[in-house]
Amino acid sequence: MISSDTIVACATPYGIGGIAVVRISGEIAIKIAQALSKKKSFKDKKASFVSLYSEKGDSFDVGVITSFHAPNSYTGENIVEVSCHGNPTIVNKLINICISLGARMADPGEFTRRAFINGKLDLLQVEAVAALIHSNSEKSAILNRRILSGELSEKLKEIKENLINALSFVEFELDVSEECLVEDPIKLILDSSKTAWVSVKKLSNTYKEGRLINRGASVVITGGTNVGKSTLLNALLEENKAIVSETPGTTRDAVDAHLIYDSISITLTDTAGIREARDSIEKEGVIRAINKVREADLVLNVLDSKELPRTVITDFKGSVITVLNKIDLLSETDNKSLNTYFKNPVCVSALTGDGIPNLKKEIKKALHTSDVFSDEVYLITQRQHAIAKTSLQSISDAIDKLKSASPPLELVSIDLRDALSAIDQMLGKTTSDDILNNIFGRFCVGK
Amino acid sequence: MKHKKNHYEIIVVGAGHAGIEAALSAAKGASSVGLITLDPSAVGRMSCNPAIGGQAKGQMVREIDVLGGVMGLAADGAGLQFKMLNKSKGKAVWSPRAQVDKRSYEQFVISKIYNSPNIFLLRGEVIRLLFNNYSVSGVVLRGGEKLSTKSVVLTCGTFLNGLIHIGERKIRAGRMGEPRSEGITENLVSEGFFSGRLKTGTPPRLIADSVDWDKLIVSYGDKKPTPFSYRTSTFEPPNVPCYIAQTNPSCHETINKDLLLSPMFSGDVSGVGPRYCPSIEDKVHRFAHRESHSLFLEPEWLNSNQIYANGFSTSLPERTQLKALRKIVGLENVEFFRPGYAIEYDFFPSSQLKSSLETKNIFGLFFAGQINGTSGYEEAAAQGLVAGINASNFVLNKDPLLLSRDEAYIGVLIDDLITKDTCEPYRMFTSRAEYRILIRYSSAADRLAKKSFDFGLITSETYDIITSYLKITKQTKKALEMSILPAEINDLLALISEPGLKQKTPACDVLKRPSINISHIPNRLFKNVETNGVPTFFIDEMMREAEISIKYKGYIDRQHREIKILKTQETKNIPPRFNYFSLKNMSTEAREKLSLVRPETLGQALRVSGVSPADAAILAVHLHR
Repeated sequence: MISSDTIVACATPYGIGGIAVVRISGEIAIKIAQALSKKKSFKDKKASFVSLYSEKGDSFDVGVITSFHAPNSYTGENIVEVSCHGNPTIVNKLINICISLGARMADPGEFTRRAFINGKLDLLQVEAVAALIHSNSEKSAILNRRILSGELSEKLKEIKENLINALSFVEFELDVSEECLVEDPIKLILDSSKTAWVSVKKLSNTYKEGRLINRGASVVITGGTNVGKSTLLNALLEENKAIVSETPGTTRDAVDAHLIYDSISITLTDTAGIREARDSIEKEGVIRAINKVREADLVLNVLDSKELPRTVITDFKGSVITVLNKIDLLSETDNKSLNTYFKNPVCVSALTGDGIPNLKKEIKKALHTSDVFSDEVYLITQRQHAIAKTSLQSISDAIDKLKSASPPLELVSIDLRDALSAIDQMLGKTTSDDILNNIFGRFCVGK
Repeated sequence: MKHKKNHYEIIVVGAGHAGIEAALSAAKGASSVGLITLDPSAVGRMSCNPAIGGQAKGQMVREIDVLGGVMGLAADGAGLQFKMLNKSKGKAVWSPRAQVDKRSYEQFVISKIYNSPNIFLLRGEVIRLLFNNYSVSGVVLRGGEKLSTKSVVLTCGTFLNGLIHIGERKIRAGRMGEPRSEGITENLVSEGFFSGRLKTGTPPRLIADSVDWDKLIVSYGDKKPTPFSYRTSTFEPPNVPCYIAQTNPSCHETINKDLLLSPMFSGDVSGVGPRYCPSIEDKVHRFAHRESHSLFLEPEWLNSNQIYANGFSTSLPERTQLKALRKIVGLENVEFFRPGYAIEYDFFPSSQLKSSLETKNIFGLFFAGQINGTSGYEEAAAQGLVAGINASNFVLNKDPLLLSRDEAYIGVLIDDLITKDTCEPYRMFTSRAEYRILIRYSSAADRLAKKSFDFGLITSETYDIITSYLKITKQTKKALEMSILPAEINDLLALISEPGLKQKTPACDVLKRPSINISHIPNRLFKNVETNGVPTFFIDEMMREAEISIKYKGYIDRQHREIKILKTQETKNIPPRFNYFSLKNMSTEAREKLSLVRPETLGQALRVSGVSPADAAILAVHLHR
């Protein structure tokens, strides 16, 4: 990782295809291209049609070589991309020749890591590269493309500016206020802090949706045995994916089904019914079910409306919809009394399809996805969300202190710096010089 | 009687605030220290404002005091008024400041030099240094005389190729009326050092009799003043006022009209000036929307007829200065002793130094003060002290005194100097210190006294005095663990609209409430605190330290944890000849910067400007191998 070595890897998936692209990055990438093709020079960002030669000098394929010269390349180093015919034997031979010419096999993600180290991408963009490659819906691809182009970084820079502004007022008070006075400094600090708070709060709130757009939502059906979970899965899918029977404990392992629902990718999971297991296989199934439930964005907690719940999981991380199944078996009076037991249950009959459209609507509401894909940038990873929350807490702490009679500004400063450094964990670094520079730009300092 | 010799263990060049502290601290270890000055009557001169301390600077004066320096003691003796700054903004950033009688300050300092048996005050101009095998071996004076030595501390202030500007007038001088020093810059550059040019300025000195004082706002110091020095026991300074005047649009207009006659604007000055101490023409130009700026008129000594016009630093032509001042209410008929002026001088970018302030190129050669690109008496004195003791440690083959960023403002100062680019004269600010709630002026004794004593900087008598003060904090903390009964405090709490106690409660818990301070706690608790013979101002201060340690506990503990984590980086040494260009994955800027600065530790490398966290990570991994 430290040395100046040159790395090589196949950039397209292994297997048979029309063409394959082998990418080489590092100091000797161009030299390798020269040896491979017997062509003396390569123009920056120009494609050349060449024969490809082995070490022994025999031509084994023809292809196209495109070179990108440092520092104007993806990694910031010399990059060569060789397109050859998409045959694994040819690709392997090509890579082996590159290695014998001094390159080494790249570690997973190493091209992007080099781009990061050389300042070509910031951390947010690195995360977006990974997400873009794995995007499985159009929305997700658009979102990641936007983060990659730096929109989230811009947003964070805006927040940073507000925080630096607030800090400048604080530091001004602590460092040079005796030399020239500012009217009502606390109000100025409070205003900037509040602006920052609102922006971070907004950004933090985007995570729920950003994650859903990006990763898709996980919706898990849980409940006791034989309450009709698998029937519900089939009803929501409108196909017979899960095996249904009247024997309790039919579903042993979780069954996953994928559906795109209003351009959100959803993984719907049917799990084993929760009960005292009869055998070790069922026991494992129940453990897996509980784990699935804990990870879920949304849990459909299915209850048999004819029976009281036996075991109920309570520590859900995501939201929960209580689904009362088998309403086709209920009388009118039963129906009324049920509503007094549960808060806002969704009543369905998975068997007849009664109430399923309503359940779908509730699922959509619970997943919080708006119909319009706004211009907001979204947080997409847990890391980003955790950092946003830390930052938000620190700003709140600062605001609380600022509201006291004589605010301890040196502590407000620590809170605001914490908030700033949280944002910086996503972006880069701020030094105390940044704050001082702002002070000098803004105030007339000095006796 | 001290006789002049031709060999001194240590030679200090320059006798300003850096030179004095350097000579005094060097003399604690070395048997002979030659203190060479162009003018022995200018020792310890306060060339600019008649004040010591201020925000962040006051904390440094305290640290200098605990490290055995003279600045705090001299200011206590010569103080005209004392003021605790930042009093309304949080106890951890209180900063002491004093207006000082320049003349008695100088006298105090000179007597310290004369009374030190190991210090030899010499008149002369050093024009060249002598080297032997990458070590300094002596100095050459104008006239050709050579003095041999083992170590040299250079504290040349603004004297190296100093050039004064007043309008279009240029005067070669180190200070107004004092010749400059030539030769050292060229000599060092030929030895491989690189130098730069900085600029600073000073305002005009007014004739007191020509000011209409009744038209100005009067400003006094604190009624209950606190001294800088722990060695001060009797302290009854006068409270001599300063006066505040306000500039106005017509004054600004006068300045604007002649703006191009200021060398700053005509492009005549190549040196970079400090943004935090802008000239009046700079203020008027850059902050055109402001109709008024404050001027502080400060007496230069007790009953002096010479007044320092703080806030009116300028290099405009003399007649423009006078014309603009006379537009100000109260200064309609003002006259001055001398105009304000700007001065340009050579400095040596301080990345050429180690954290001991010894140069990386030459053994035994130390730099301190404005030669390192700093500004301010306090910054200079702090460096002088460290350079002096380390020159003596060098001669005696002892480990250098190093101060870390979490230990002292002086540590922050030196670390910033050796890792950051100098773009303007460096002044200390509290915001430069990431651990500022730990390095309070009132915690200086706790932070530094032991180290100071171990390095021989303070006598055992002084150390005992300081220890007895620190005991008050310890005992007060203990006392605050005791409980208070509702009846004892509820009346008082009601008075400040605080909810009363329902049951007996530990005092420290009560103290945690934001609007409660230690004066609200019943005196009964403190009857075992030993305060005999301790002056009231130090009793108050030490008890307040106990309060801070309770009120700020969460933040203080957290900072200590952070420091512990970072310590491993600070102790990870980088080989002096490390080849950064071998780290190909590091950004080009970082490689260039690090090769230039050559940080001593990984911690320093992290703080070098232009080094990103990613660059630092690469370096860390490499050093770990």
